[in-house]
Amino acid sequence: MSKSKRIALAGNPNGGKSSLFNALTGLNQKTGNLPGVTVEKKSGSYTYENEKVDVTDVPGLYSLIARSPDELISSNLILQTGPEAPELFVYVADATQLRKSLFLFLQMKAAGCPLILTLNMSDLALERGIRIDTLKMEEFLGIPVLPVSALKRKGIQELKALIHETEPETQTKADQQLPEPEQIFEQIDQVMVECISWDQKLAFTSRSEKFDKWAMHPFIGYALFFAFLFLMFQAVFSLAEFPMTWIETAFISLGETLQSSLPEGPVRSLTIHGILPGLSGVLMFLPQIAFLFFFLAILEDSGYMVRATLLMDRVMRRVGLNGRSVIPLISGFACAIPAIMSTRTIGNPRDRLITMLITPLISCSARLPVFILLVSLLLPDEKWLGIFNYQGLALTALYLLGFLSAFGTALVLNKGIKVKNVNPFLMEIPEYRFPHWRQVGMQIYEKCKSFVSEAGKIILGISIILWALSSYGPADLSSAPHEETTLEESFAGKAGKFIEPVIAPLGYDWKIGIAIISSFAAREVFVGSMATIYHIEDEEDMKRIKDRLSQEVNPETGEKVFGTGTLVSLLLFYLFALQCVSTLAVMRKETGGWKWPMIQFAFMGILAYCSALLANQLL
Amino acid sequence: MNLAELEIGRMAKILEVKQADLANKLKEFGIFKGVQVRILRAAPSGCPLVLESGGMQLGLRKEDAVFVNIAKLEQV
Repeated sequence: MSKSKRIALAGNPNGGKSSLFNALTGLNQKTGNLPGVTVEKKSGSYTYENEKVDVTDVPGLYSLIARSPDELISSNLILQTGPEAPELFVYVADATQLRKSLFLFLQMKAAGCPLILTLNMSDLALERGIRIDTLKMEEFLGIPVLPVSALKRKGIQELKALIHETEPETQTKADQQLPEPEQIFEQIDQVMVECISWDQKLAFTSRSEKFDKWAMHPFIGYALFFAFLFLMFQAVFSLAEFPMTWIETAFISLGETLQSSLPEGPVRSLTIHGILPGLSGVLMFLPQIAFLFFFLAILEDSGYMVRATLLMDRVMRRVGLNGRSVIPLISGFACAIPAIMSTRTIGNPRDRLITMLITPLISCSARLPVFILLVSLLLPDEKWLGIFNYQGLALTALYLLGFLSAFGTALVLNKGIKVKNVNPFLMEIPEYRFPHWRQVGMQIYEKCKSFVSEAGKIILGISIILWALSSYGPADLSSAPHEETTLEESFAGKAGKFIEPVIAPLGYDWKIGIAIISSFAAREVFVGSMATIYHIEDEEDMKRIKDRLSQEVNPETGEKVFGTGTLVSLLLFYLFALQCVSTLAVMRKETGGWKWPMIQFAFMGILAYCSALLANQLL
Repeated sequence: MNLAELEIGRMAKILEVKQADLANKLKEFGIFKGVQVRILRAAPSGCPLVLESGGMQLGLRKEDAVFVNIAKLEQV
């Protein structure tokens, strides 16, 4: 095999660049992590006629003159010189939007980039009566022009052949001033006059137009948007539950098998209580991630997301965010992890950061088991005014409180993180398109893969550490023979006793301390830990835990351990504290460091502690 | 008059964009002095506006639109 060729795909967002990238490379691609920005650097490769071709997908861009960190990455990828620089650029123009698409192309041409021009969606353009004379265009521009249809996989082999035939050029990128936009558009208009003829005048398709009358309607527009959201979260909650149960069941039976087949000892304990829970903790999130991104990919690919953003922009700006923050925030009710991953669609870095910081305050589904246990201890299973269940009302209040605290924090952060918003809000509104199953599938696959490979490691690591802390204690460090370490005697138990003075004002004893420490990695562990601490064999039996806990009495004072003050305090603690290692891992990945996850962890911890303290002292 | 004051559907010609960042960004979408535009619709709360020019649609906030000076064209 001869040496590989380096090419790059460039073009506007929404121009079908990623579909062409998928069509060229298939599944043979990887996504690079670019910290601090919303864009992803994708690269892949394919082989044609014994030549390996490495393809970089330059994130979508409108102009080489960068005005944001995201745009700077893209324009640097295009303008770079040296051994890493692409030997050939395949420019992806939207054939139905040539005037806009050719701007960046002509900038790149002026900058001296070696180029091939592909006219994507040329079949669609033809349907709309836009006839493009590619030969004339080739002659006019002095650059090879090829009509393709990335979604229908048309023209791909021709493109590969053309890339193969093109001799790699030595880069002679001009360091000159780019021509003024007015000049470039003068040139574009010339190309349009020379090479394009319209069968009939069709500015914007009437189909998109008709749909937008409804989608942006003052009443129906919002109704449609919330109906779609409702459907989406119903699906994420209810459909994802089935595969989640399968994964859980599979891990339980795997644990049982290993329990009986492995010899007793630290290896078995590590596998069953450290590695398996860690792995299941990673895999359990996959169904929710997959379902959420299935819907988000459809929203994004169809072009509806932009309309939803315009619809919500005014409302979200009241708290200093923009329209794009709506989806991540509402996704947070299911799970903060896919929600934080979905903030990549928020172009403004500051808005994106605030959205990521407040999303974990929204009550996710992992808090539900904790809430259910504590609320059932706090309130009777009776109806208020004969209609509303007290426990149901309390749950609703908790969710509402989480949502309000997220908005309140956004308001405060908005005042605090005062980056002058230099970028005016300009958003291209693409036409509606039917989402393509292959594109949707690729997106789901990519999100799941990046979660498992990036966040998975951290989650697994911390579950193993927590296992060690709760199964070994100071006694294990000495060589003296001793009984098997109980949870009470373990490092986690000692830590529970150690932090007792700190948590006593919140109304907690050291046993609750152990439960809090053990659920540091994942809040839902709280219920299981309480069962272990209070020696309840059957963890699943919520009623038995409840009865046991409600009888628990402080040996010194004779008062109930789980009184109103302690329970409300615990509820608030679990509502606000960031006890989720997976969220921290995803935050680290998305922000590119430990700074923001640590600030977030500290802030939510302080909020949790203070509100729990206040509740316990007042009640 | 400015773009935020233009009634929906009416064609207009760009005269001047008074804010440099906005002017530069609009230019790259082919919207500069002399180019014809119209407001296609507005989001329910009246903002952002949907601007149409050369077969392309752009979402633009009212607060930015006030910087775009225009002249109304005669209705055809």
